[in-house]
Amino acid sequence: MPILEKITQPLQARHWTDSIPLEFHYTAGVAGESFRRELKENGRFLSSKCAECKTTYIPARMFCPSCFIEMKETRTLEEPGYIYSYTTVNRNRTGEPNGPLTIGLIRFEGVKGGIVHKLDVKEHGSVSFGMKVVPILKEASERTGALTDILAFRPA
Amino acid sequence: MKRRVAIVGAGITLFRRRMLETPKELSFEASKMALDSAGLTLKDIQSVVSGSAPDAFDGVHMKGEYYLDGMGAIGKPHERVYVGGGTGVFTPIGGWWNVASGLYDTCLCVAEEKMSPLHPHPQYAFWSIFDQILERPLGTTLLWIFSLEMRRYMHKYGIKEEEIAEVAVKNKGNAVDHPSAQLGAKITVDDVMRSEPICEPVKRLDVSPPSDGAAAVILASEKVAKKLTDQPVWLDGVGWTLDSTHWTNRDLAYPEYVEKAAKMAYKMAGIKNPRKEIDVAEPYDPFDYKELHHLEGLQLAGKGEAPKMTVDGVTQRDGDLPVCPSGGLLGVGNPIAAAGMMKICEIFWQLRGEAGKRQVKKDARTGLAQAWGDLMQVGTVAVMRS
Ligand SMILES: [Zn+2]
Repeated sequence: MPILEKITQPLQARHWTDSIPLEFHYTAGVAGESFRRELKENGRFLSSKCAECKTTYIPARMFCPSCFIEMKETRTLEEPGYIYSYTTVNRNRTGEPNGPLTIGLIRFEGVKGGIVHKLDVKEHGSVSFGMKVVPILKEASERTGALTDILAFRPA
Repeated sequence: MKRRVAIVGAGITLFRRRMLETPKELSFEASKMALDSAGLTLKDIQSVVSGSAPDAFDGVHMKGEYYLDGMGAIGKPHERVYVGGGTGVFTPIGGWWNVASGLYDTCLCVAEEKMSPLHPHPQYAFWSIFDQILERPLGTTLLWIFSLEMRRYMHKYGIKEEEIAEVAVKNKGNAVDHPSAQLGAKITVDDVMRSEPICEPVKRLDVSPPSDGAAAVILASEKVAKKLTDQPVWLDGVGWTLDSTHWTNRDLAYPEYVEKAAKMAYKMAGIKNPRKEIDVAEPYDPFDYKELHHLEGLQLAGKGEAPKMTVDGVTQRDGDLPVCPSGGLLGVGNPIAAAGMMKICEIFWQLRGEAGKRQVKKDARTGLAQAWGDLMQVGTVAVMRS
């Protein structure tokens, strides 16, 4: 026991290491497939509309979680998004200095849900609530349908 | 004072090696089908209980929190129960607590599993359940235990591999009639015997496959159930127990933890002679010998006698005690938690006479579903009546 042995350096405790090698191959799902395809092929965001409560959701999804019915109507969002909130990241998840990187939660008028992404702005101070933003996309030939097909959002 | 609880609807997705649907989408499909079959909408559901095995399968930590949109559980009291492979039958037991206690009149119970994301193989999820000192350094897999268990069972009662293979033949054959089935097939004992020995005596065709899928039932209090349907199926007895993870302590030839769970459920349901009173059973069959093992633990066969019952045809759909008329995990597939729930759904349909081509010949009034799992240490049992 490290505490009883008065070991202050954990590596002096008698222990051994092992690892559990796991790798995941996810499917995008029925709605996720169409969302990703629209992003890859046309560089646009696909949303779904509930026929009952009329809510439009982004990203597109299979069912309305409130009305619990399948959503068959989809629509691509043509208008720019807007900044709902934002932050500046200075360290990464292992605690290393990383940044500054400006991140925003982007929403779309009349649509439920949003997209978190990098903001292509010179400085934090130039971001404001409600600011209109549009995605900067990779070339169509380089897009894979991943969210990283978007390099960042920039002011519209 | 506990209240009587009924099952009033059931739903199930396809079981496949890999489904496009996300865990949320699989859950939605099963839940929606269950609601539709009960003539209910989400507004009628007061609480939700979900079940799913390790997060490591779907590859989403806190899976219960993740998939709940697909179970209509946003803003409702929701809990996830988890006892490994025993989860599927434990899920409606969790729902039973909700309704029997008087807390809620309706409860949606959903079991989901998406095993296909995990690579190199879903078995890797079990890597961490073994003892770090005694077992993991050897590269232990669950198949080691099952093979030791199967061989000990065979040794103790003088059982032949061919007798055990009859279970795989029966269940895969039954699954041909199940619309969700992944591995329904007409095979022979010879096919099983000649299939690849993976971990002797366990052979390829003795084993159920990894799968993606979901299944759901809706529970209701007596008052609500009687308004909804003329054919409620009563969840009259539930039982569950766990043994230690020191599986090396156990009598490998007999599943005591299943016996204890079964006796709890029988007592609650007022069943004195299970072999006479249970008309149809869905014991957990991830391996063919496990069906036999469990029939004995459930007191539906004497110790070492389940193989003979099988060979004699007693457990066929037209037999005196039809066992796994669904096709079981061996035939329908084994998306862990969803597989146990599939058994609850099957007994529900059998007792309502809605099992179609799978309907058993005898007039079944009382049925049982059982699941088993964790480090081969848990038994979960549900006794149902029409
Ligand atoms: Zn809606």
